[in-house]
Amino acid sequence: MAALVQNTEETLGRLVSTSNESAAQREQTRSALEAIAAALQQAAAAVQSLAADQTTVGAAAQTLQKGGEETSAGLRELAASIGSVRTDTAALVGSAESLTELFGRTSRSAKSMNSNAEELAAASEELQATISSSSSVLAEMAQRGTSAAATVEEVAATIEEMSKGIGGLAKDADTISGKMGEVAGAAAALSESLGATARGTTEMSASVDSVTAAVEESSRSVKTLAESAKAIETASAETAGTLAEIAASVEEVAATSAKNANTIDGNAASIEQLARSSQRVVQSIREINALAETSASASRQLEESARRIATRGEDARNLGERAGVSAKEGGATVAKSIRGLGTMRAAIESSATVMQDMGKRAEQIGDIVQTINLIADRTNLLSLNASIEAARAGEHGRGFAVVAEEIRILADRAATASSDVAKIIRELQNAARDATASTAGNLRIADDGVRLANDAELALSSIVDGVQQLGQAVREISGAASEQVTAAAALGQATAKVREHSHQIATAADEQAQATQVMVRGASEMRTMARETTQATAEQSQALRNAVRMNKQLASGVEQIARSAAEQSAATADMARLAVQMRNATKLNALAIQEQTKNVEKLSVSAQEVLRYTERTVAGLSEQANGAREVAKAMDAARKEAALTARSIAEQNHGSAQMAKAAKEVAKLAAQVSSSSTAQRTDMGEAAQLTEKLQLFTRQTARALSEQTQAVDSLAEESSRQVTALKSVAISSQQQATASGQLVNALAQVKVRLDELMKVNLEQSKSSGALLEELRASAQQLSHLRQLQTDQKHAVAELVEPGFGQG
Amino acid sequence: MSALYVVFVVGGAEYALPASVVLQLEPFQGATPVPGTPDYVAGIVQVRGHVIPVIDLSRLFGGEALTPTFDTRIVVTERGARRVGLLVEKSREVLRVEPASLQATPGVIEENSRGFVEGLAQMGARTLMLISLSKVIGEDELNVESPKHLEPGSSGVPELPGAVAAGVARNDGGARPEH
Repeated sequence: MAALVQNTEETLGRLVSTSNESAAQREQTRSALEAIAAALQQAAAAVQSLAADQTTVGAAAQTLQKGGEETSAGLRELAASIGSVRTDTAALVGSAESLTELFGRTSRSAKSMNSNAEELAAASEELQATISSSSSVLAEMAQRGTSAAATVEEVAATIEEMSKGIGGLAKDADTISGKMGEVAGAAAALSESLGATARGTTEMSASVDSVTAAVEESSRSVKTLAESAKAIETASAETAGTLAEIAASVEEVAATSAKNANTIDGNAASIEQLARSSQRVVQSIREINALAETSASASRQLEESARRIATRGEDARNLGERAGVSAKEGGATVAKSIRGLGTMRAAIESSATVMQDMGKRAEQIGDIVQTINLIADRTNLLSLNASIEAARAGEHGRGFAVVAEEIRILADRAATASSDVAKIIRELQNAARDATASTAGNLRIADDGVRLANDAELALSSIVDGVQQLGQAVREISGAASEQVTAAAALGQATAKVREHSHQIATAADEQAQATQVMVRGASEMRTMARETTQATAEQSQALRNAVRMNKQLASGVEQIARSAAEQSAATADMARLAVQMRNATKLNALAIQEQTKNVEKLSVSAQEVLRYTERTVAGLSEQANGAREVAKAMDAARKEAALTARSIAEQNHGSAQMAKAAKEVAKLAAQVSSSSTAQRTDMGEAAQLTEKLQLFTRQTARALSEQTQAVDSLAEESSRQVTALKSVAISSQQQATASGQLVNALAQVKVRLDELMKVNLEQSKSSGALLEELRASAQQLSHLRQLQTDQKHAVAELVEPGFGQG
Repeated sequence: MSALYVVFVVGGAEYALPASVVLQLEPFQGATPVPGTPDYVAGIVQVRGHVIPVIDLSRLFGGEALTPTFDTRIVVTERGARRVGLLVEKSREVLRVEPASLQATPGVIEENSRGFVEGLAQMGARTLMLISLSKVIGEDELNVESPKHLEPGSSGVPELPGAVAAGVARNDGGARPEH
């Protein structure tokens, strides 16, 4: 635009100089005419003033040239500074690209955070599933524990009953023992009586009658003995039945114990499984903790990057606002330029009209000059003829010949001058035509200038719009970034909550694990006890089986006794029957008694053995009772343990429920993290789009700047052209000075016959004055325009400066 | 003693005639062609009431027929009773020529100029060729006595030889074909 202004200025300068030229010529003509009318001296004076004017014009042209060169230099500086602005804009584009890259990185980190959250959710779900499975296991275990406790209680009751039975058995055994003692005493007494018998046998020789009586008595005793033996047999059978009962009971106990041990084993296995699952729970919780740590650091990174984005956005917004202010100022200046260009256009149009007027006047002058030329020609002819006549008149014509010669010279000069004038007029007409043509060019240029200025205004307003959009975009980015910061903070809090919950879960899991360990220990103790119980029961069973065997042996012994007693009885009967024969066989009798004594002694020994066996049975029974009591005690302990197990399982169940709840919360939080991460990713996408817009705007600015640079370059070119034109103006001014010198001669001669020219010339002068006025107005407009252009240049420099400051 | 010469231009060259043989100079406004005359005779014109023939010197000297311009002149010469107009390109001055500056035509030129140039006058840098009027208008070629029955200027009838004057229209007539 400035280039066009310069161009216009140049053309206008040319116009002014041309019009000055024509005015000077007009002045010249007028002064020449006046001089012709008045005196040649006036012409000289006028020409001198003309020469002075031309010098001034030359000086002005040189000044203008200098100014044009300065303008050119300023334009080059402007071009350089615009180039630096363009570089800065390129740098801005680079920073916008790096911003985009940063967005991409942040987006990637958000994505990874999202996947972390999803993993956390998955882990939470897994945890939840594990907890529910462990809960079901615990429930099952609790059920089993309850059933075990019931069984244990049953066992305990059975054992107590058994204990009671064994106590009764012990009492019976005591009674048997007492009876057996009696048996032993009787046997001893028998032995003594048999000794007495033996001793009496010796006396038998003395008295067989008394022997017989004694034998009868002995037979009765034997009968009593047989009865006693029978009683013992009965008692023994009773004892055997009781023992069999006991043995059956003990077997039952053993079986129950074994069952119990199996159950306890199952319990222990379940508890161990529980312990393992607890360990798994603890491990999962630790993983959740680690994930929570990761998500916390990710959220911190995100927050930091969001803050960075906000800061960058604020910087960009400030820059954009400054650029917008400068662009607005530039727009105002451009609007002023457009107004100035419009005024200039009007001035150019009016000057074109004046130029056309002047061309018409010049044609009229040409006609007049033609006439003058004709007259001069005729004058020449007349003077020549006068000379010829004078020559022919000889001496008389000599003075006339001189006059004629002078007239001829004058006429020749007039002709020369008129042809010069004609030439000048032609030049003037050419100049007027050129001026008209260049006015059309000027108009076109002015229109172009207006259009370009409009374009510039449009571009500036689009820059302003772009800057506003940029500001809005940056504000949106800032808003999104602060939302992101808030979201990141919320994420951090949520992560902290997750962590807290995880810690709680971990603590609960640890407690659970400890409880499970306690349970495992209790279970193993219970197992040991059960094993011991089983063993004791087995031993008891063995002892009972021994007792039964002993009892059988006892029964057989008693049978033997009964049998021997029967045999004795038969022998005694034989003795009684053979008492008569006894005399003869007293010695045999004595021997038989001795044998009998031996048998009695054997009996005594057997009785003592029975006693011993009975005592041992009693001792076994009391052992059995003790064992039963121990079993009861152990059962009690087992019951207590079972109750404890049930309680701890209930606690564990409670812990599992808490754990499930916590896992649900974790899952919820993970879902929140995931959703907020998705929102963040969306925000990231928006931010990336806005950054792309920013890049676009920056690129538009860069393009506008290069267009501006091109315009400035063309301006510089126009400026140098102006300088060249000004040089040619100076040259033509010099030529004009020469022409002025020629005109001096011409005007000096045309004096007499140009009176009629005066009128026309006056008109012409008037129109010239009007033209000059118009041209002055144009010049004023031009200077105004130049002022505006300077303002604009300043504005451009200010516009450039923020970019410069940025870079 | 110096003599006055009328200077004129033909075919770009300057020629001179003594003012004593020149009656006057006239602007050329066209001549009336005369049938049967040589091509160097431009026609006849009226000068101060006399009808005189006009010779195209350019044609006579072997050049093209003269194209009339604003500067075209008729140099009216008089030799004895004979008045002949010489059609020249231009004639704007008379010069005083010192006898010392006169010199004869170099032989080669004299031989080849068919005798039209009878001398040269050196005027500073200018060289004027002096025309031999007798050779130009000759007495043999235009050997016609002026009719004496007409008083000069009395009726506007030219003093032309009868052969030439026959059928000649008035020079100031309106309808006359241009040359």
